[in-house]
Amino acid sequence: MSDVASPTGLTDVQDVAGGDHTLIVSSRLMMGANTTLQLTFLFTFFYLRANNFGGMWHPSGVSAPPEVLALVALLVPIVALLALWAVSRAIAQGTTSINGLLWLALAFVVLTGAVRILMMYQFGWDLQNGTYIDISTVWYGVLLAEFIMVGLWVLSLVMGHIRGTSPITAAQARTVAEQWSYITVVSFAVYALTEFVT
Amino acid sequence: MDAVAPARPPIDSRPTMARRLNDWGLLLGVIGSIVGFLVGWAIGSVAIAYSFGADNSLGSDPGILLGYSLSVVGFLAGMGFLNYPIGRLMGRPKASEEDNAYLHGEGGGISRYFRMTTDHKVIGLQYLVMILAFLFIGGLGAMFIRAELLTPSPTVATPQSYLTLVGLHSTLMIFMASAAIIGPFGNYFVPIMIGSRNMAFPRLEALTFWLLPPAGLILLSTVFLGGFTTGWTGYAPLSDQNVAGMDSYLMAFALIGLSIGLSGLNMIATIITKRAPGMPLTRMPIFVWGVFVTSFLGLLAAPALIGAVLMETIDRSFQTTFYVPAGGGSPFLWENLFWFFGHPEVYIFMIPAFGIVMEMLPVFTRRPLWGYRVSIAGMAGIGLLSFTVWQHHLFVSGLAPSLRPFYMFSTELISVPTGIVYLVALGSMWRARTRFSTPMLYIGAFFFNFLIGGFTGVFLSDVPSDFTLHASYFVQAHFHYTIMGAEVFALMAAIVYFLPKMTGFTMDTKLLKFQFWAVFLTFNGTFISLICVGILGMTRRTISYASYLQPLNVSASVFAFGLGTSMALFLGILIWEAVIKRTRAVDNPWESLGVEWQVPTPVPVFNFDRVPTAWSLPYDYDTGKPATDLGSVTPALSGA
Repeated sequence: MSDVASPTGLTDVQDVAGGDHTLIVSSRLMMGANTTLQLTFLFTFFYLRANNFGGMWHPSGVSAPPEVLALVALLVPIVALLALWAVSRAIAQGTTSINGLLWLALAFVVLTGAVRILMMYQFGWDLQNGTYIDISTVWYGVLLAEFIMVGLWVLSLVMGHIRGTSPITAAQARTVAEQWSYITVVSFAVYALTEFVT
Repeated sequence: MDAVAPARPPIDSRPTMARRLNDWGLLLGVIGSIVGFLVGWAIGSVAIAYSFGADNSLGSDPGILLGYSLSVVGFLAGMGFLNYPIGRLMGRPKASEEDNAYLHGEGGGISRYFRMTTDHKVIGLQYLVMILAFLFIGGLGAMFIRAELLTPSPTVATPQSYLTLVGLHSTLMIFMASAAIIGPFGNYFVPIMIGSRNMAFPRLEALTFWLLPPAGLILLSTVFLGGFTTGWTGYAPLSDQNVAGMDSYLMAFALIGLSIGLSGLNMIATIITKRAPGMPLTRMPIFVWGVFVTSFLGLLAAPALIGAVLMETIDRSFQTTFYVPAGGGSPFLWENLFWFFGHPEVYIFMIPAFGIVMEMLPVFTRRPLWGYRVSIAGMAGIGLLSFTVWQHHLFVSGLAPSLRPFYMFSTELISVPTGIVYLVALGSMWRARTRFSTPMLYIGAFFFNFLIGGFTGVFLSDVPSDFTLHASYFVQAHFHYTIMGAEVFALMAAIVYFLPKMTGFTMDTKLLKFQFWAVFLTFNGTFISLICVGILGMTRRTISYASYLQPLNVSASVFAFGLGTSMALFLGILIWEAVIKRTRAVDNPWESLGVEWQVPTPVPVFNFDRVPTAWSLPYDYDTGKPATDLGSVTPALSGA
């Protein structure tokens, strides 16, 4: 049986506020859950590819994602990512005038969504034409949804900060940048997979 | 960890418009769900289906699925769940302390149980009522099944409707079992046990609950759409071929998966970041450890289910072929993904059950919990290994023979940490002067039933015997022994044990003792009959069977009717004592040392006015020292 001890020397506190720690821990947990989801699609990709039932994995005539547009769709979130990390670093250093960076980040976040929607539209894939197209479409769709969700988070932080109702904290800036980085890296991996492992 | 002053003026008695709307949240939610369904149905049936060349008739899968999706969104919007995120998106000021307190339920009276609230204790009770309601409906399904199986040939049901009935019963029970312990007792007691005034994400906690009623109702709505014939496992290609009733299953399962995952995230974040100073992980009550391990399982397993369900819905809506062999897909893909979730799901049922049983045990044995750290290691071991065993469900269907030894070994290996937890729990009873109060009777039955469930499971992990027993009533009896025989008995023990704290009322112990023996004997009578039926070769999910199996089936059915009656008796006693008769309980009827029994009843709205910083394990029955000294740390706010 453990001995009773108070590490603070106090006998009680008014509340235990997790605060920044809660946000950071939760963000990492969310990444863990997201990793399982991505691994689900990865497993599906290789399972269907390896079995190639009826030769219907990648029937001839089906093209991989268009390279130029796909590269643009990959580069735009990187710019957003750099802006988000710049915001995070500025807040950590105590800089107060970060509105310009915030707008820049938001602009590229919005552009990311637009370019990826355009990219999916440009695929012109027929969903009934093999499982390579099925899994690729679903995967790109899920990543788009994730970019949009993190984008909405960025929007809420920017709006709160710009309007002065809820200034961004260092933990918020860091976690949103981490989430965006995570999805950007996954989108790179997915692109490489669907482009080169057909 | 920061010390934050919660000083706040008393809540304004004149409610704002937002609060008035929040009070009508449930009604607004129902209206929102109806509007959402109609809009989604129209868009899905016409616009989307037409654009993608899918079936564009009303009642098509895109229409049903989009209708369900928007009905859930409409329900949540009506309940007020979108107010906060929309407000943040528009940069509005955060809610005031006063509004937060109102949302938390302060001064809300009985109405807070019918609206969105962020009080973990209210949410715990909401879970309890919902779970009992759906377990009752699922139990009625079981009674119909056993009535039908009184004769070897179909009598009332058709094969199709029988399969829908079996699917509804099993899916509903699995849904509710996944939240049966964590939902009511995890939400209610974990924050108190770790010395927190609230969960890490109170709105998220409310969301995880309010996703479940729509999930249950959507599942039940399958009867209006032709039902589904796949059972709770939803195997392809049958799921691809099913009528629109299958969409109900898929939508409901997706919502349940979402709820499990988000609940896991919230619990872990709460336990890691909201523990009182002075409470390292090694001083957490064992029940909190059970919830902690289980939450990781839910968080990491549920996304696999959500991904699998997403692909199935797209298969049905847009004619992709993930699970259709003719188009390059594979039904075995579903089996793999489903069971990657499904097997950890079994431990999502069982680990909290073990946790809560071990939490109660020392109270009745009046001895410290034996092997506290070993049991934590055991639960963690079960959690880790649960991700490595899923393919034993595919021994018969499509697993490469070369992989069978590994999955047989890993499945048998998981019995080691399970056995450790089991034996450690039993160790607490060794030479103890056990008080056989009513909860202790259910706990004893938990161990007895789980032993049979565990032994029968060993046969199913073994490839040769699994080939013989697979898909038979032996399997069915096995998982009923573990889920119902163990988890539901743990649930009944926990209800009887914690009801005085949760409601201030107690249940009639004489009637309960009668109920206990009735439920224990009829349960075993039912499922021992079904073990025998399974060994004799009767396959499950079939409405007809060979006539020589009738005596055993009649035996199972008669015992099952007794089981159903005794379960109804439990519910009856609960409703009579807690709602109608309202027999007041004493403050700490079991003389527990846990902090949850040191706070007043009813528990104050924010649990503690000030949180103690010196904690020990709550099992020191040798000296009688409580988990913490609340002494002068008295709550200021009164609850209801």
